[in-house]
Amino acid sequence: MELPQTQFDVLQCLGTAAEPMPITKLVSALAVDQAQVMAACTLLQDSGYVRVAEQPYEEYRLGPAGEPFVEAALPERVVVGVLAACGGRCPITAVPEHCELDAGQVGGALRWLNQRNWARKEGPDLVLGEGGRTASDKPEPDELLIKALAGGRVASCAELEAEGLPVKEAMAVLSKRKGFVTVKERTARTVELTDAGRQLLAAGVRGRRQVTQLTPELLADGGWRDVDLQPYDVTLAAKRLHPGKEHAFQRTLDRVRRVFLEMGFEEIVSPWVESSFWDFDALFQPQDHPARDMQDTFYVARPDRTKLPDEALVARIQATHENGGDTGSTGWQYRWNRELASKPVLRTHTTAATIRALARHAQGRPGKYFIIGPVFRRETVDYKHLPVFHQVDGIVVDPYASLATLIGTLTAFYQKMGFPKVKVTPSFFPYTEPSAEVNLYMESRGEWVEMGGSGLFRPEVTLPLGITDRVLAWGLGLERLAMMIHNLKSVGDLYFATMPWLREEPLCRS
Amino acid sequence: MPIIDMPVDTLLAHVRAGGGAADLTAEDLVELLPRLGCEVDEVAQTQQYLCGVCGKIYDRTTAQGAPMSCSNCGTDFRAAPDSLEDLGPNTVLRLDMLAVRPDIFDPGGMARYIRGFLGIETGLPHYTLSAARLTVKVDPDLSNEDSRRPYIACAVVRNVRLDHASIKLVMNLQEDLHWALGRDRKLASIGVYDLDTLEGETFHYDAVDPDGLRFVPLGFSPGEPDSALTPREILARHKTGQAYAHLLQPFQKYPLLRDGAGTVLSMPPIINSEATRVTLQTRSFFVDVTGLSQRAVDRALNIIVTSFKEIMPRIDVECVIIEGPEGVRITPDLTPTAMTLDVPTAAATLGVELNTGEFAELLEAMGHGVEEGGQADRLTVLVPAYRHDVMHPVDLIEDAAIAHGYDNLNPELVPTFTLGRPRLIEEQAATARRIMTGLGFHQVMTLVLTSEEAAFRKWRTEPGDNIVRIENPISTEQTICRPTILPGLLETLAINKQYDLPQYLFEVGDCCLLDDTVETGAREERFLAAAMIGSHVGYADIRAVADAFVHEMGRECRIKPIEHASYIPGRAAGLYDAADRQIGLMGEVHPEVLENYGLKHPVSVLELSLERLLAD
Repeated sequence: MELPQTQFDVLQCLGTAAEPMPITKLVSALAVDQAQVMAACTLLQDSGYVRVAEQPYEEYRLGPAGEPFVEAALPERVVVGVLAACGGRCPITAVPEHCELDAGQVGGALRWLNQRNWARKEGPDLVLGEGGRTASDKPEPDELLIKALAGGRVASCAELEAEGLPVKEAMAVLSKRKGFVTVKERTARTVELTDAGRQLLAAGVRGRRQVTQLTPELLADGGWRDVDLQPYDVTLAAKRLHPGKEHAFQRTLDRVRRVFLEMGFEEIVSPWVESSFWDFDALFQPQDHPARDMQDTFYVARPDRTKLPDEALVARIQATHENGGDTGSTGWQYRWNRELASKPVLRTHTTAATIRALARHAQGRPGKYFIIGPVFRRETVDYKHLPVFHQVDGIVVDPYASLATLIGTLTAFYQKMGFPKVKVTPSFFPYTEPSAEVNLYMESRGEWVEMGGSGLFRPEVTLPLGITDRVLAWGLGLERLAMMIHNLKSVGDLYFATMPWLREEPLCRS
Repeated sequence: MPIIDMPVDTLLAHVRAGGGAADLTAEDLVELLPRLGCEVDEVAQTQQYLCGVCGKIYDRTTAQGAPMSCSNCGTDFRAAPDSLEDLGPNTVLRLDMLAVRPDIFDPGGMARYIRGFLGIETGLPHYTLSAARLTVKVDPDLSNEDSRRPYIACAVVRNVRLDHASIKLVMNLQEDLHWALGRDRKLASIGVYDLDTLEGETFHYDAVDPDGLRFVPLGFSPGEPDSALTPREILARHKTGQAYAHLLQPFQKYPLLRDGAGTVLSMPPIINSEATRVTLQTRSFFVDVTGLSQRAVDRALNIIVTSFKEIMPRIDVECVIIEGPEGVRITPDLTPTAMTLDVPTAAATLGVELNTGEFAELLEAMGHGVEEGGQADRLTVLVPAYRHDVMHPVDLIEDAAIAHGYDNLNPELVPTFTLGRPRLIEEQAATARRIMTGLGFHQVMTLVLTSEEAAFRKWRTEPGDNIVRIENPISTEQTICRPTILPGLLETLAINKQYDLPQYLFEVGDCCLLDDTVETGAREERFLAAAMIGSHVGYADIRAVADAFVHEMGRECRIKPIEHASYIPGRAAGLYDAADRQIGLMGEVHPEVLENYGLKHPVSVLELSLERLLAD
């Protein structure tokens, strides 16, 4: 049979005691702190091995007013000494001349002189009484008590009485003298073994050590078997950890990327600094289109020119713009300028990348391409707009490409992105016809939200590149999507991130 | 993209005119219009205001408030509050319109579109034109480079009866066409005048000396002194003149339109004259469109006269003879354009199984004419003269799709199988991010545009000659493409000065480098950048990160000391590959740099080219 070590130590210590032991004695005998000993006693009591008895008592200690009188005589005794020396009578006002007291202290002593019957006032004089003549013979009980409590001693009534002090008589006087003695109510606890406890000891109970930390030493020698590992309050929180994390926007971009790869698309890339040829002209955007203004597009000063693709292609694009070329279109009916086509811009959309991919694509095979990347627009900066943002563009080159398969592909794409309800309506883009605007139902807002455009590339775009299959195309802005998914108010939250957001934003949002 | 206010009651009245759709409601319109390509932003209650000077009417929401000045004649309503009259409340649909369909910007054209779509009146609308009585002679000088505005088309409109609503429609249509079709008046601009104020049967469109004559422009009062201005003075002193001065300023001579008696109608594309302006009493219009594109000019006139005819059915549109340097034309010419549609191609493009007859019906519902007879799987489609957007049969195919309803198509996937193919650098970048998050770093994403100040001077270096620079930046903070990611990281640390330390940040992203060997003169390269800030952060910490990173990416590199102005001397190193090419650098950031960012704790950084590290 085993008991936790402290409980065993208490039991063993009590076993040697003939009578109930005060807790304080137990504590000093075991050299363990009071709280642990009390806890052990309580547990032993609960188990029926000890009995804890409580005895209230009063604890006495000298107060600040009483301390000086450990050495000094009480004022009334000093006055008695003066009266005795003056033949038993002295004018009150003259008393200070014969001792160290001042008039105030003499006045204060009058009450006590009266009470003890040591002197009384007669007119202007103080007259020594019967009691006063014999007062010097012996100290009063209260004086004894004061001296007994010298040196900051704290003692109980019982202790003092055991020393022969008349505590009650002393307190009868001292309790009226403010600040002389302070009294505290206390409880003395004693512990003793019960019969069961005695039997347990006799049966050879052993103590079992309690530890907090499982150490390599305990493991090494198997000592862990002989100790108790203290339980913890497991409901308390530990310190806060912030794992390194990918940016929330990165996770959105990765999700878009994964959807495209799962749908069989090839990832492509194109340069930020793009020729006007690929950014605008190859997409049948006329050279006087407002989007090409200095207002809306960033032109690049350095490098200041780009190369153009092969002459034959440039000539086909020129013809297409001017009169439709071989595409069956009327074209824009204006004069196309080569110089403008080689002006570099920061690409205004990722469609520049997909059109380059289309130019590289060999007609006759199916192809699916996508790109995610930054694009640049010269727009006033506000909470929704920055001069650079991210887009994704996808194209499908296929003999079965049609408006119906465009809608089917968009629906599949957005469903894989987590938006089950998709709706398209007619729209306009310069390089697609038919064109469609894509709307998604946002459960969190309870409304349809426009999310990007789509369409079939116009023949003016595909035929000059040698592509006779129809081509589906769609794109969307990704900051907007990320702000909706991550519940952000401003696009600046993504690019000027705060540590609290980086640290607190959970990796997984349901 | 342009936002148009379409008055609900007027539109409903026009749709219902002539029978059919008697119980069409505003709610029906809100449901119908997106299917026609017109997004309904909102149904707005507006207040109508009248400019007493030129008759223009404004629809304004409570948020917008009353107009402060007239966009037509330039009158300042704050200076002359009596010239603005409050006409009372109105309900409009705020529509986000297809920019290429200016023929439906007004209630007349829109009603025509809706009536066709609902099947009330299908096929090519027919508009009668009366024979021309007036001629406009065009000065050959207008084709010169120094006064170039050569194209003009005109029409006469008789039997006009106007009220505030119809004047408003006329003026709004002009403005909307200026924007959508005229490229803000450059390619085409429109003037409408009271014909009864004009004399003679031959008008003149000339290039004149900007200082040679005077007339009173619209909005100025003839009784006032100094109200007659020369063309050059108008550009300087009239509000509309100032707004559009850029269209004429480079010229030696300015265009001017005058009647047989020499009265000025207008100085295109700037401003009409006060004398010829349209009022409630006007009974006949003269309309001109001038511009730099024959096609735009003709289309604009076609749209105007046909929309006027829809809004005011009793008018009589009369042609005008234009005698120009290249010959004689009669405008407006409302002859439809014939275009051939291959039906099997159309069906395959849409992904539907519809036959020739069914396609014919769809196109007629969209206001086209379809010729009788012809081959079994081909249609000859007659496209109305007011359609500006039909350049190729695909434009007709889209119309057919709209009439059929995008919602009525069966969504499908293309049946062909293709393999997804990721780019290696993206996979490698993802691995790089994984390594850095495993080391306890938080990823940030910063702007790829920066400035010389942020990327160089704050780092105690000077910008070199080899950075990609924007010609027309919109802000001083974004003038170059970033050649390094580190400034963005330190800016993020600066934003986060008050939060717990240490902070470890990284970014994996592209930088843009000048390269004259590539097609567009610059290319992107993928970099890793990392920054550590904390009371006890130093070289040893960033070095440990760099070593771990390089090892986890399966590579090795050499470390050699470097001196670099941005780093504490003796505490910076370069990373080099086996061929001794520098891959990156790292070190303790110089205290002056930290001061420039307002940072109060030491920072160590690393930046390396992922692509150079991983090159084989």
